[in-house]
Amino acid sequence: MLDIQHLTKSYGDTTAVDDLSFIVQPGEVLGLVGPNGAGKTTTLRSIAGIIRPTSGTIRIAGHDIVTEPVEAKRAFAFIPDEPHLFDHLTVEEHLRFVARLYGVADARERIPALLDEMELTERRAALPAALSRGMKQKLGIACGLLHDPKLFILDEPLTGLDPAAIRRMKETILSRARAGTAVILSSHLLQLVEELCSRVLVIHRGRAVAIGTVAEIAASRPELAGRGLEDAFLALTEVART
Amino acid sequence: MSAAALGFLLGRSFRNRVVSAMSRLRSPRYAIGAVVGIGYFVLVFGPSMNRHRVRPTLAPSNPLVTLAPLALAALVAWWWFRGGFQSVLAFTPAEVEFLFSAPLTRRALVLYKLLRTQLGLVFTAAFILIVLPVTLPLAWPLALVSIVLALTVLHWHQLGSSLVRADLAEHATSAARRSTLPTVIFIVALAALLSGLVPELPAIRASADVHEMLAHIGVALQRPGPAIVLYPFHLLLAPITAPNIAAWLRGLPAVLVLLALHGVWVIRSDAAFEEAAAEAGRKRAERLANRRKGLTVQRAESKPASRAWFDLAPTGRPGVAIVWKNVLVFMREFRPAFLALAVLAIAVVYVLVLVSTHSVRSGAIMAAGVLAGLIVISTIMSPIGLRNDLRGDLRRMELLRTYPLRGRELVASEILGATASLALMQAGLLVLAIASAILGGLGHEHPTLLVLAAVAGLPFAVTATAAQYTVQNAIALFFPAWVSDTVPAGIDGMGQRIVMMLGSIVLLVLIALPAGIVGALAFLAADLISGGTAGAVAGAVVAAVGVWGELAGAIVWLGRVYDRLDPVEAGIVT
Repeated sequence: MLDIQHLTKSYGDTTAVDDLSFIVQPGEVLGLVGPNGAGKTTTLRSIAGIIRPTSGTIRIAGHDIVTEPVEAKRAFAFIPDEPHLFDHLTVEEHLRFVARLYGVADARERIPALLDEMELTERRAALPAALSRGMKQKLGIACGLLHDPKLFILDEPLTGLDPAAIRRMKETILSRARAGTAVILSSHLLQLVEELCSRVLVIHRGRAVAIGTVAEIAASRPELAGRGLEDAFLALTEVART
Repeated sequence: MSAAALGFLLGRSFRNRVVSAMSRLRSPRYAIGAVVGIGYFVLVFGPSMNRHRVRPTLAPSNPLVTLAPLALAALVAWWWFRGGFQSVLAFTPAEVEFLFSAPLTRRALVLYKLLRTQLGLVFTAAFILIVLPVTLPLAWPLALVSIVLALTVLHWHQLGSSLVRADLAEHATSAARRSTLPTVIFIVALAALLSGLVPELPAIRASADVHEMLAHIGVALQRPGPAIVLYPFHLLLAPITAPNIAAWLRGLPAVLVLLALHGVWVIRSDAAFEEAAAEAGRKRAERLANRRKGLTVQRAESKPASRAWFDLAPTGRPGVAIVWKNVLVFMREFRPAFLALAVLAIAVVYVLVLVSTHSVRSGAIMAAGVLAGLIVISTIMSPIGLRNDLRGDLRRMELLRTYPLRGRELVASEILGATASLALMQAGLLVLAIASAILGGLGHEHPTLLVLAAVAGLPFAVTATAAQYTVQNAIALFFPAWVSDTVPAGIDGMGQRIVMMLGSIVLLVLIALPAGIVGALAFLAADLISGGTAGAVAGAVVAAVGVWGELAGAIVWLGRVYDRLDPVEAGIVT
């Protein structure tokens, strides 16, 4: 579903992402972890077509994000950590707007169900200024889910959500993955990554330092045998640092 | 200890601000802005800075001297009734977060607030000194000190009145009760002022010119009633207008006493300072954010959103969604302001003409003229201020870029949406203008003009509006940081705005020139064959088609620019 080969993104002399290659299969949840400034957001933005790679290829559902951007973008949804909403569209109008962008023919039936799922039905006529941070995040997620994307790109998706919404979001991610959606999830919450992700990609200073299941990553270093992702993450990024 | 911390905050913030402004000038866009801004400042205010060449010395009879106390009294009355509290009490969100939760006394916070604004007052005083149309009799350092002192007293009074209002708002039961004391004081002061002005009214009415009228008002204000009311303001202004150093020294103690009294009043004020200041800060931050987004009308959070103007079908061209959104933004944010402006302008003109000519016909013709003028203004000026287009959406580029739209479709939709919004309003204004013109009898006198206005007016306005929006969006794409939230407010920011304005004029001329030449040729050809009206219509149509052709080409090009734009490199997203 997502095929990245030799992705590099540079800004002047600074290389934010350096020769990164990985694949995410349908139904797989890939966790993207790394310290601050490791290149996670740059990687996600490159995948989402927000910025152009300096070199390398990104193919989503078989379409190159640079040469076939429209086809590629129809296949995914990107949920950034900070929800970007339009000040003058109500909650429901956001969904109708997105429906038109992606041509969701059954939007009239899907929108009430999504509003219900995100507990936004009572706030359907509210403008973003009247929504809490968590509600805005839920609306951003609802917009992403509306067109049934084949690839779900999530950057710190649980920021601002209450415990009930966090649980529901986790269930949503897993249920979408079970239905065949590929998910790439970036987070500093290593427990969340460990809980949800079938594989983990650890990046540091723009380079992949490990990829695989938590067990596979831990097995790569004898002293980490039987330890969790947190220990592996700290050890790997410490090694990369020294 | 707290004083040292607050002093550190003030000192370091100032130093870092200066360093940041200086280092910003290394970037060409800020350097160009600074050069243009300084050039503009010197050009406009340069002549008045030369005190011996242009400006006369302030005389005691100058209206500035006689009327200034009255103006200050009106300002103070305004603060007490309406409050300046949002701007005066406002702390930044960071200050609220760090200082309000820190072990600092309320007095320390108030003192910090007073000191923080002092530097701004010095700059304001220097600016006043430069732009004053007269030269003050004293040497400029003394004049500067005098103005700073007066501004400080006024500022502290504004802060004090804001604190009292905030306290009353918390403890008084009703708005009427909150205003009781200011109302009583205002009525007494007004009565005292009128006691001096009324006897002078015949002389004021009989004045031959404005200067004589102002002189009579000055005399009226010296009568006992007004003199008592305005006494504190006379004291405040005495050092500024002092003719010599001896007079300045005589006037200074009174101002220092006023300053001390205000200082004690503000610092000892037992008001709900923190709550009021935090709320004021929040509102100011929201107002600034809205202003940066180009939103001119304050939105009430609880206000329900009006209905969308047309239902958006879930399938079809995706760009229509952008058009729909931009029209919604206009309908919800700007329309009420425009309607209010149009109705007010027409009503004022109509009443003025009716009163002066007693002719309904003249009133109707003037109203038609005002409406036509509003169409022209909306065509030229509105696309600069109304940012319900790509400029307004630039800060959401992280979201826009994920939409399945090619750059050219997105740019075209953004421009069309903004143009359609204004076109709706322009169509309404045109219908009203033609109706007023018909009511005024222009249909009989100038039928050709009316037909031309009806047929070509809207297409012409819409074409020009689309061209303006295209230019504004082109500037946004080529210089995104100049139209984003990061545009500085200093002299380099002013320079950037001037460069953008000049750039947009040049681009508009470049767009209009080829189409205008082709239109003129069409006009001449049609005029030779069928006469004036047909020639004018043919010329306008050909010119409009030419402009749309140019715009189409420009939009395809801008679409490519949008596709290539890196929002991180451009500083749009971090």
